[in-house]
Amino acid sequence: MTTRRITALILALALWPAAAGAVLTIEITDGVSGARPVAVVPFAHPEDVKPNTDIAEVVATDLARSGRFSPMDREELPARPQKGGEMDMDSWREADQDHVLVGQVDQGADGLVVRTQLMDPYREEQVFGYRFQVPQSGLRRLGHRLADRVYEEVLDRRGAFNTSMAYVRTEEESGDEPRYILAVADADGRNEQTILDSGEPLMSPAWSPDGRRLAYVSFEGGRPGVWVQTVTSGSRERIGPASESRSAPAFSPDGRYLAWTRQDGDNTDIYITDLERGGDPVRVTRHWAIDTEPAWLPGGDGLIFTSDRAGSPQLYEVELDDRARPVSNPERLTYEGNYNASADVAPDGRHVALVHRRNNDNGFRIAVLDREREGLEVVADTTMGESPSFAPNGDMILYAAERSGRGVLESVSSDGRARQRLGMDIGNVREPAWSPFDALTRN
Amino acid sequence: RRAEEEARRQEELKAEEERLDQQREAQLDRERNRYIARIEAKVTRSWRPPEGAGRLAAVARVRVNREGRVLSVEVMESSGNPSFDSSLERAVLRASPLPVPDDDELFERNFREFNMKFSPRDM
Repeated sequence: MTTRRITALILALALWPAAAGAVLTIEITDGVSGARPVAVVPFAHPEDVKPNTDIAEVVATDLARSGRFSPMDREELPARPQKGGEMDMDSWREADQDHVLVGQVDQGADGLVVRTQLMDPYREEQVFGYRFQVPQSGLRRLGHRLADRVYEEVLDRRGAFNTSMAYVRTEEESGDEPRYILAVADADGRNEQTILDSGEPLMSPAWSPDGRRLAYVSFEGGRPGVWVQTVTSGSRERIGPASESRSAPAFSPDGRYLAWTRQDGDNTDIYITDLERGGDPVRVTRHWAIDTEPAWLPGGDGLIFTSDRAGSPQLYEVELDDRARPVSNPERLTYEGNYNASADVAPDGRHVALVHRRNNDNGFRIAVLDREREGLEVVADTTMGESPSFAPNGDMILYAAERSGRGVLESVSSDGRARQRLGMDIGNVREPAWSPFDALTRN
Repeated sequence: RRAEEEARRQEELKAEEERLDQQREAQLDRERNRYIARIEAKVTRSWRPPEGAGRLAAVARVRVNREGRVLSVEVMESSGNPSFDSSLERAVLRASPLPVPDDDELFERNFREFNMKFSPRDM
């Protein structure tokens, strides 16, 4: 067969897709991981309309904080379109932007009208488009919701930007006794509201799974006690008698049970109260060592807690039956390092955030234990990390750290890929707890 | 005798033609592999597999014009995971224009239309 005839035959095959059985196949086995490029164009508005919030900045800051996106610098935007239809897609492709969020703010009959579109320059199409009617006071929250939508569209994972956090802030004015403030704020540290203001220490806030209540420890009356308070109404109730020392509360995933720690003389053990039926608490651990900081598994079928029964604080797991009674002897989970404490379990039940100290090292790092691979990975190389708390989607961890003697909050992406930390300057704060989705706060 | 000579010459001609064909085929092979590698490299740089794409795989049919500009990407064998499927579509579009051979025959034969199989090794 001559070359010409081969060519003719191949051409015929190429023109005949049905016969193209032996199509060349190129195999791709590697990709790029890391932050995805996104451009968030400042939202345009007529001169007489003055939004009090830069929505695009809220969106871009949220996305950057997740570590999964790298928003383009404003100065580098190739253009500032207001609508998807105005975009020159070539220029956005040249700028290597996978997605472009555009929008505009106008005066509506009742508040402001915000129109926004997420555009895909490669497919040259709109990914989503929305029109919102909001008051000025709702613009920041709208920004968080938009960041959530971008997150969900691009990553196919639920966003957790429009959520809240609880923490304890200490105010110490010269000469005065310190004041302890239990506060709730947006997940970016804005819009703080006071939940409780006390002259005695407050500690360990924990959210109920429906996001309506907070459990916490208050030293009012001189002794630590566990309280449960409804966030919006402020009504509160002490769990257990004032004569007992209780701490470290944690709601079960169905909200029915509350696990906590009782300190009785030298002994510290974990108990569970049935909040619905009442009755005597069930004792979960029975050991002369300190057993504390219970954290529920997402199925409600076990607790992970800290115990120094082996000499140094380590994490243990105890199984629970469907009435939250212990059914097994605690099993040790951590072996690496001489300090592993303050567990918080991710929604996948597989990853556990904790405070970790290596052997021969003084720093308290934030680490994540992967229970399937049985590996421990430091995600935040801080020296004084405390109280790690997963975002409700499990993608980020909020924790407290110390900077020049003051408590600050920082967050890190939970896979350690993007180890950027973001300090939030909201005073001397400790013990953060990230809220569940749809927490009910007054904001 | 003359007929024998003629037959031998015909034979030689045929052998020469075959040799040339083979040479050409070998050259095309090298050229093909070079462009496979170049396309692979370019698409690899622009592919961001979704998290946890560990054991997924999908095949897409890619059509390009003579300059390598991607005309269409069609998922032929879905991974069953929509975000994985759309990540490979995006990867090919982002990599456009793809490097394609100058040789018309090779282009028509293998590169005007080809398949790409995406299967992350370890992610």
